[in-house]
Amino acid sequence: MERNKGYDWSTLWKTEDWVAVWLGFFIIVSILFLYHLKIMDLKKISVDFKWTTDKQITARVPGWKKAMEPMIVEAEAKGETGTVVRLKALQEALTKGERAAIVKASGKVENLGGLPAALAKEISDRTKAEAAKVFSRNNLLWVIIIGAAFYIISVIGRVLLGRNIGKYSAGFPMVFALAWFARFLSGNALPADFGFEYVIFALVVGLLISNTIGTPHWLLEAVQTEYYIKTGLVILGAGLLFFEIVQAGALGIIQALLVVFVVWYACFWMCRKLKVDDEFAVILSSAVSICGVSAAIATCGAIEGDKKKLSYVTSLVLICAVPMMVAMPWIVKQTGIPDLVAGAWLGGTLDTSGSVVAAGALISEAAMKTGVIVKFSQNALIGVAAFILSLWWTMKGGPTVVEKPTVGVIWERFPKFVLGFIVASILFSFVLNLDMVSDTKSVLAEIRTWWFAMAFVSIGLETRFLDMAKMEGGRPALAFVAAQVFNIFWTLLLAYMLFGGYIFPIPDIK
Amino acid sequence: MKLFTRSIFTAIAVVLTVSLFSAAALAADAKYPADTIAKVDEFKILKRDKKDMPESLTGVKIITETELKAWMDQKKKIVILDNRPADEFEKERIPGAVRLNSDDLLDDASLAQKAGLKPDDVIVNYCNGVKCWRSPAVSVLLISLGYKNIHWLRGGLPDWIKKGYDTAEGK
Repeated sequence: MERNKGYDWSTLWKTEDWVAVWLGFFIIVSILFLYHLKIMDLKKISVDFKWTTDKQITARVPGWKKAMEPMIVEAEAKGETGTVVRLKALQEALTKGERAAIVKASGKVENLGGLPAALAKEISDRTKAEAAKVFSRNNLLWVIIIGAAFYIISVIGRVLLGRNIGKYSAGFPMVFALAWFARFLSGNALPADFGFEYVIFALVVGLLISNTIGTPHWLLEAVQTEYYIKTGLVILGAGLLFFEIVQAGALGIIQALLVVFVVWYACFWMCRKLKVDDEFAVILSSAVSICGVSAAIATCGAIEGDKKKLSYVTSLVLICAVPMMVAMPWIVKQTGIPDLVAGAWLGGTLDTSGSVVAAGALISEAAMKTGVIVKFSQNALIGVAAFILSLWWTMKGGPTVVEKPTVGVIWERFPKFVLGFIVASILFSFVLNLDMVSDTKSVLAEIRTWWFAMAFVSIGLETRFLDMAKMEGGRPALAFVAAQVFNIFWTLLLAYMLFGGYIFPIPDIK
Repeated sequence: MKLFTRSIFTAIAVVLTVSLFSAAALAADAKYPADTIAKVDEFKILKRDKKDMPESLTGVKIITETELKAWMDQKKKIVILDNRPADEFEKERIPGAVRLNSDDLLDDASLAQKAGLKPDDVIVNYCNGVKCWRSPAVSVLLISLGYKNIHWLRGGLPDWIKKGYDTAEGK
């Protein structure tokens, strides 16, 4: 391998991590300038996906009215006559069932603030949401503008990465359209009741295509989970206070150390029991314990392992993540695990950043943020692990001769987009003025959701359950799954200890 | 050629990072003393963190809904300032209130004078209740501009409505 003296600066625009950082920064800067120039109201940059049919409204009326009863009783006890009058008026409007009247009456309750206002907002949001609105010209126009902007921005990144632009351009509109479709499906009141968010629909839409007709070849170049998710994550940094990152990050690193070492060794031990060869075992163990694909790649590089084994592990990681990211949030909701503990659990066990975001988003914003921070703490360890592994592999005298390991590998394997995430957070926590931060918040969240939706569609599109059956042997898969199960329990225990407020105070994340 | 592309891209990267931070410097300079601005920022931070505004403010008198209603019934000469954005003002407000928005007043201190406020006027500020930063902000700003008789209706419009008092709407 030829190496320039010093750092190879071309990685700054030739690697996906860095390109994601620049794309994220570019988007943030553009939004800030749009805000500063005051050309337009940034809050208008949002696409409305909510739609509720008349029937669905009627079905909800009894529940809404019932929810208001205790509020009325409480207000009467406190002598808040105004509150009582307005809540009763809203109940009456609900009984009559006329959408416009309901919206008006709930508007009056919204001005009361507090709990009644929160309920009224939910009622008016749902009642206002006629399906026709989703297809209104204005709404569709924003979809097209966002799609075009995303295309232009992301294509610049593809050029930098030296990828095929023609193929990317052919596939991009389809991936974006699928992301739109997933969000449209999730906008209906019914799935929203069951907690089926766009995450699930994006995954399912992708999975349906890849596992039935198969993802068409012309689409593949635009199926870029990592590329989309990293860009979205840099933007997510803007939505997190730096203080939150430091708090959860510190606990995250403790958790990561305990997870990585224990799970790594457990998986390695299981591999040996199952007579999986050492090379395979090392790659597998890193994938389970650290963070899936990137760790597997780093480990494979560190021990200069067999590329075929690497691709096997990669598919394994991706396939395993799909059921986990749907089942774990479900378990969290059924058992009432606190949001932050849940986030830390997801961040510590799910092996791809995309699945952490997806699963976290199914629980709550706080769970997603905690999950991402914990995941990042773990990702930051990839380099360290690769370094230690290559040292150990050299001493052990593995089948291939490895280049003498250097400390430089720690930086080389460090996920650089995490730096973009941190810089964005610092900027929004300390540098920008408060109005700028609060007024750009919703538009940045909308943009990041689009990136995530495209990433989740991509996860679906690149996951083929059939591949699992085709894989050689099955013993490595068994070891992987067994270690993953161990990982799930061990990490849940750690997450409870660290994020449950038993040892350290619970971090303040919103 | 390689050196060329390298410098171009490094330059772009540097520009992006720098502009990210310089965007911060774009914020308009305020015409209020630093400690006043710091006070207003405190309220904004409380709002961001979804916390209640302070119980009291130095130099500002707290007034309750009942007291305000009594003043209005006595036809006492007071100025009620609604510190919220226009759309909220038009949707619902305390009868007789005039609009003096906190953002506008922060941008342009002369607005107080333009609105016809006299130093000795009895002024009442309100917005959307204990979690709303606007009325404490305007109260503090007016104090710093030399107004003497500033009152703060801390519970704001929500508590006013709860009491069952009348409200007004429209332009």
